[in-house]
Amino acid sequence: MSAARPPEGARTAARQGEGIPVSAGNVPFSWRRFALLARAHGAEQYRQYLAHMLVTGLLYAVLLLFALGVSRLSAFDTGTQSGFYFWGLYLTGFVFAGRYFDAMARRESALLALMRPASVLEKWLLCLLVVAVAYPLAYTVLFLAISWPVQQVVLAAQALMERSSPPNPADYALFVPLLRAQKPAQLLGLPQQWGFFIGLWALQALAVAGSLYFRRAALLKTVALGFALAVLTALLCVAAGARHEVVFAWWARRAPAADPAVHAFNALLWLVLPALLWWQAYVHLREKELP
Amino acid sequence: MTATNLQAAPSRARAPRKWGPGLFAATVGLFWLLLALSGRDYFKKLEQADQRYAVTAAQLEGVTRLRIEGDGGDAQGYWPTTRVLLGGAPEVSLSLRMRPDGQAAPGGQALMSAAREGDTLVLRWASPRDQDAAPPRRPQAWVTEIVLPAQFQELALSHAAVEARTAVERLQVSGRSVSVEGPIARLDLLTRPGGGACQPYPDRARRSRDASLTVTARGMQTVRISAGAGEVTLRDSEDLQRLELRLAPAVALSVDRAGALALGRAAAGGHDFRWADPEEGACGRAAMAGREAMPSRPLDLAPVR
Repeated sequence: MSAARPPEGARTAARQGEGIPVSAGNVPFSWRRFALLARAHGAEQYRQYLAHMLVTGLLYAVLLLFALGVSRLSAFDTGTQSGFYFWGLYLTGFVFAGRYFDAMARRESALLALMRPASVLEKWLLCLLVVAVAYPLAYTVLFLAISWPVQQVVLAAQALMERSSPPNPADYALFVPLLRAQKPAQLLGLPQQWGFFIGLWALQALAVAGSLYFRRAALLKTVALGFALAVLTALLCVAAGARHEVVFAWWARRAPAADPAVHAFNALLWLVLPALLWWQAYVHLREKELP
Repeated sequence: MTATNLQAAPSRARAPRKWGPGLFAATVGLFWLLLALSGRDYFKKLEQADQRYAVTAAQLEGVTRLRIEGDGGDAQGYWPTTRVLLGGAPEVSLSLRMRPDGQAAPGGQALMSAAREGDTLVLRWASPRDQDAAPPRRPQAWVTEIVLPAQFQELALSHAAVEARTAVERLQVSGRSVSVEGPIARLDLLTRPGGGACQPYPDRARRSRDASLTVTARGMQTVRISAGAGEVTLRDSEDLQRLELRLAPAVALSVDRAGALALGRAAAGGHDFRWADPEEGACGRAAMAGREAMPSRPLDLAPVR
């Protein structure tokens, strides 16, 4: 039977002649194939992504209604907004990442997803781009689109309310991530925000890897695994006397110590470890691919 | 195909080796190793050591009162408690701690200054706390501990746990959230809502949040408590001979035994509790700020290594 089958290179060439590159061949990355993959992914998933953003926006609106009602419109200062932003980003970003390879987990679509004519590297890069870059951007736009009118309403309503001490509008400035803080003592400085984003990328890598490794109820199992690891990590921190001055040296407001060991430590923790987690997602994806 | 050939053939195809779980275990292992390494003695030098200062005994002659200006007022959502140790030291020493992510004072200037106003030692923050604390108003730095000589008889601070280490004849403490314990013969305890200035509570929701007075009365003979809001707690009142409570109707009261209330009734001449209007002095204004303004003389607040 194998004698009747045309060689791999010939099949690829034949398909390429038709403009449809079905095999990655020996080339790990092709811009054209990557663009086609991105187009196919977008055409298939955009409804789900819109639904995800709609649910996220509704949840944020409900949370705001509740928080502002309970606090008599005071729970919208810049620090609280940043809390809403990062909590929402972590929760929804984790779910979004965990569902990216959902098609591979479903029996009816798994084969189609696995046979998609693109290399593992291209699939992984597209995942990285959508999950770690496009999603936070889209989430930020949604957050600002809801927060800006709410901020205007809060400021107007507070001006009308009789309070013993009038609120300072500067305290209620709109929180825009990675924008220089208006007040130097703002709750979250820029380095801390970068720390939160790197933490998010590590968490998303874990969600993607979990969704590729576990066959059933992958998101639930990943959450359970993450919870167990968090408990063990907390115990280890107590037992070993882990120092936050070292672990968060890059994200502290004051300048980090000039000790090279501290910088090496932080580079390993905040750059190498997230990179290792994304590499792990790549390995899981490669092992899941059809040989 | 003979039986011999079958035996010689390769047994079965092996599944490709899975590297993913091993890589994940290695990543978690590296993460834990790093956390464990951060606890090594090598990094001890990075720990946030308290900044310690002292006011020498020579500068404290005739000083019997302490006031801290600029501590957390109503604008602050949270303020850490200062431990105040009374007695057993010839000089005043205090420990300051920065928030882990807090910014140092610009130009390396001192966070706090000391001055003498008559018989009062005034400790003053370099910048008002309600200005440098960002929403939700967390302080950048605070006093963790103050050690005072036994000569101090009046203390005005916001959030403190006062402990008399030696026998004290008389002590008056006013503050927003204060607990007192130790062998104090006569204790006067008053609520003081604001951090520095004494003003009425601006917001009903904040009244009961952290305004609290707690007395552990073991070794005490006379206790007088005046509170305009919040909660008052009395513990270990067995040694108490006299209790006077001047509480606003909204104040929550907790005592360790019903007999303590009988002490209060006897002291009040048959009335259970009396409440004096805040304007009358229940917030401690009469205690400290009612005096004539005294000239302020800076004192040397020397760093202690």
